[in-house]
Amino acid sequence: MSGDRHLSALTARDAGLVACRRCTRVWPGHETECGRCGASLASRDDRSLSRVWAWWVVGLICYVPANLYPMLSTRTLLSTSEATIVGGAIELIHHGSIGIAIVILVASVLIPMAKFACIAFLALTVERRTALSATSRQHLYELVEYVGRWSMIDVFVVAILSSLVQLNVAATINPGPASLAFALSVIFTMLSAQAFDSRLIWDGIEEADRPDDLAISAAGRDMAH
Amino acid sequence: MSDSIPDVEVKAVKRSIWERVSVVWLVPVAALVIALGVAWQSYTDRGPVIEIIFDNASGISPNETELRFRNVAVGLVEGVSFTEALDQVVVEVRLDKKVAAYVDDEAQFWVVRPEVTTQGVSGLDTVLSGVYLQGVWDEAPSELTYTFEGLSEPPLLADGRQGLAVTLRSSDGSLSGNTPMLYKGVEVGRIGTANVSSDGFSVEARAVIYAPYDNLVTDSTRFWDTSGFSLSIGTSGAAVNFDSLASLIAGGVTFDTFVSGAPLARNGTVFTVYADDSSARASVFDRNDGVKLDLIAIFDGNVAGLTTGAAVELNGLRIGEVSGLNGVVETTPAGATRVRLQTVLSIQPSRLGLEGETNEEDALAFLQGQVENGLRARLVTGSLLTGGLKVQLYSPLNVMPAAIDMDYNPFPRIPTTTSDIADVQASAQGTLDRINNLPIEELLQSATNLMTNASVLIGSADTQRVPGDISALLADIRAVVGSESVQGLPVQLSGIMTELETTITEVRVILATVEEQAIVARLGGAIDAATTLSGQIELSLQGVPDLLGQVEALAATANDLPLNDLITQISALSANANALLASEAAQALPDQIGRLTAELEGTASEVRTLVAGLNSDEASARLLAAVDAAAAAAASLDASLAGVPALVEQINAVAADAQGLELDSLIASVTSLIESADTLVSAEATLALPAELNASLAQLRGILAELSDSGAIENTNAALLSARTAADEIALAAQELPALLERANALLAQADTTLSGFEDTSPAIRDARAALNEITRAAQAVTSLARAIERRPNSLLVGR
Repeated sequence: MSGDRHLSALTARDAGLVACRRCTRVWPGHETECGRCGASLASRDDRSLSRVWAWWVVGLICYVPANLYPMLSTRTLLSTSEATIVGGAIELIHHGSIGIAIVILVASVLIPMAKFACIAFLALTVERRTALSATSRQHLYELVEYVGRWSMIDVFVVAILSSLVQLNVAATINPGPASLAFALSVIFTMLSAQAFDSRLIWDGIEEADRPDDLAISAAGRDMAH
Repeated sequence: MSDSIPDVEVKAVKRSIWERVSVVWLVPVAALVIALGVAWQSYTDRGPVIEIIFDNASGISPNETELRFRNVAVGLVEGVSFTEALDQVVVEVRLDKKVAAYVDDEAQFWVVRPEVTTQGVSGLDTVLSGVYLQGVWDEAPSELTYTFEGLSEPPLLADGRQGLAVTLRSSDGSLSGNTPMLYKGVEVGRIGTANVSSDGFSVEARAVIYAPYDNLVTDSTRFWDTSGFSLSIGTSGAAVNFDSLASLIAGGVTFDTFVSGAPLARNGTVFTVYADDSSARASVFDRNDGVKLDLIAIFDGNVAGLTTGAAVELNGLRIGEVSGLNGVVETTPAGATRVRLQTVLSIQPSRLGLEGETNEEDALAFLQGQVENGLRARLVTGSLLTGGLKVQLYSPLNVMPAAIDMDYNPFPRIPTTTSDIADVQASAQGTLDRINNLPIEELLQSATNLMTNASVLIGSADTQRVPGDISALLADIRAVVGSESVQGLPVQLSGIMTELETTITEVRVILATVEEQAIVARLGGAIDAATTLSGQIELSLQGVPDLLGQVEALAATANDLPLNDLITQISALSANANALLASEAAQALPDQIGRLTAELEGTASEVRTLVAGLNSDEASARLLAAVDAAAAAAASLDASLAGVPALVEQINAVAADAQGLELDSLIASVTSLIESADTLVSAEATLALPAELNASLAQLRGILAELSDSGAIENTNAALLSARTAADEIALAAQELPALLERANALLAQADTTLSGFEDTSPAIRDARAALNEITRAAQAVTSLARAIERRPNSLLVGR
């Protein structure tokens, strides 16, 4: 099915070429350095998955304190209150602001969790066959990369509130330790998503179809000869 | 071959794991290390959790309420839960590790809340920040304790203050809790909450004296209450004492060490709080130190007058005091319940005179032996004046065998016997009853009758006619009256009045002296003597109506005098009199009047001398010297007073004689002279006639003056003096006096009306008015006296 469509394509690697990932100039496969921009050339980034997992792990480590520690520390004249991300959202629900609570939950809980799951899924399935087609996985990857930056919305809210509400005696809002951890977590998951070499998605398919591939290329050579 | 695509050299390189693994992995490794490091550090930095048990956790909330030490946060409340029985609250506090070592079993915790007391406002910061826990512990590290009992209120030595902790005890309510401890007006300590002691007879409170003032407290230091104010009236005048205004409102206890040399007090020493400064000072010389033996004694009947502090005596020697009083309900064998008085006797064994070191057991054994020999406790009258009672240990005859009940709770119980309480009130009541039975009403009735008769006499038509007849004569004798002797008459009369007043005053002084001496010296004996005296006064007063009757008869006699005839004859003589007025004998007439008046004055002086002698010799000397003989002195006084009417009666008799003898003879002489006058009117002998006539008129005037003075002034004064004496005895009867005085006023008014008919310019009339004014003044004096008695009947007893 989809394999048929891919089979008709000739990959650069199969063509003995390698593209520069910085300036997209195509070079012969044996070149190791781009003659135009000086970037190093590699047909496949074989350390990609390692980096993905490394960033993913550190992102996850940061995500734990981001949820355990308070995000905001609100000190008024009479009391000091601290709220974690989920605790704050629940409090908002109790106060009736369900809409804002949903925004916070989606931006700070759902999306980061989904990102962790998606990146892990992509990294695990990159060299295997899955029920999900390679095209869908490519779309998924693009989605993860696009949506990731919106997770920072929570950090922005905290930053704005902290800078605006500094009424020394009456009320003060300060970022809690969770805000730093959350920001780091978002950054690390974005790095993790960027470290992913999406070309690996397609390699798996071709390796699975290797016999046909070889036959075609052989036939081609025969024709050329 | 050149157009053929060269085969890409696909290298299947087997790389080492170090080449395949990205350097990026250093980041998560570092993150992990950091996280683990932070976790480890926070774990090792965590202090222990202690549990503090409070009765309530008002205001304490987990993760917010802090534990502070010297106002620095050293812990945080982590949880609030209940004890198993749900009756108390367990507060779990995470301690800082650096102070955990100091929190040993001597640490104390309490909740700081805003508090408004008379001492000020504290914990105000907790209004905004919420409550916090405060802890205090010493600086010596020791083993950590995990469970504490929280205090319901801050300890007295908070915030690490040093000081001396003592216990104050009071049995008379002079100790109030939560007050400052003052020393010469400076607050040097605090007193905690006052609690009733376990035996229920006293109040105890913990107190501290802060360092360095704790050096002021020795074992002989005395504490006393300075709250409120005291009013004392003594020889130096009235004095209101109070300490600072703060202690007036909130109370306070101060102390002083009156005796030096005692060792410094140690923690836990028990001190007694005295009611005031003077009793605290007095207690220093009281050998109150040493152990005390407490005994219970239960008394029957009404024992009003027994107070704490009353003496406990053995053979007249004070061996202790009553330290507690309360009632106990007992069920009789018949099933009824009754309330009896339970007293606590605090006996000082050191006063029993036992040999060697006396302690409670020895003293109790000694008393047990005495009780088996018949010793009993009873109530006796301690003071006749106040009716106060004291407890006496006494051995009555024929007593049922008994023993000290050693098992009685809370103290051993000593058997009691019938009380011996003298009833002073009953004796006094009997005396007053006898006074009440005196015939005051009859006496007043007689006096009223006398006044009525006198009024009739003066108001009669004959008397009214006298002025008209006399006025012509008066015009003739004006020159005679204008002589110096007659002018001197009012002075003598006023001298008589003054002496009479002096006499009355001295009598009053005597009476006052009698009353004062009697009350001060011996009330009981004096009351009995007064009773006897009252009886005697009663007897003597019964004679007063007779006296009044005599006076009345005299007045009647005076009424019947043949004045009219005399006046008629005088009128006939008037025509001839003009020529005789200038004679020498007429000038001598006033001298006779003066002599008569002098005699009268002499008589009054004798009366006064008699009364003065009474004052100096009989009454005052005896009363002052021998108070025991008050009854006899009163009897003498009675006899003396009884003699006064007799004296008056004698004066009356003299006056009556004078009336009977001289009046008749003089009238006869005048009549004979008138007969001779017709023939001798132009003769030289007529010059002698005026002398006789004037002499007779002088006699007449003297008689009238005596009649007025003796009958009206002296007798009225005597009667009123008697009435006053009687009225002195009881106020109720004194209400009759205004009626009597109204009569006297009516009499005086009539006399005034009569005199109004006289010519104002006449000196004789002015003199007569002056005499009447004297009477009026005397009557007013009596009136005011009667009113004073009416207002303050008790002045009879207190002597004012």
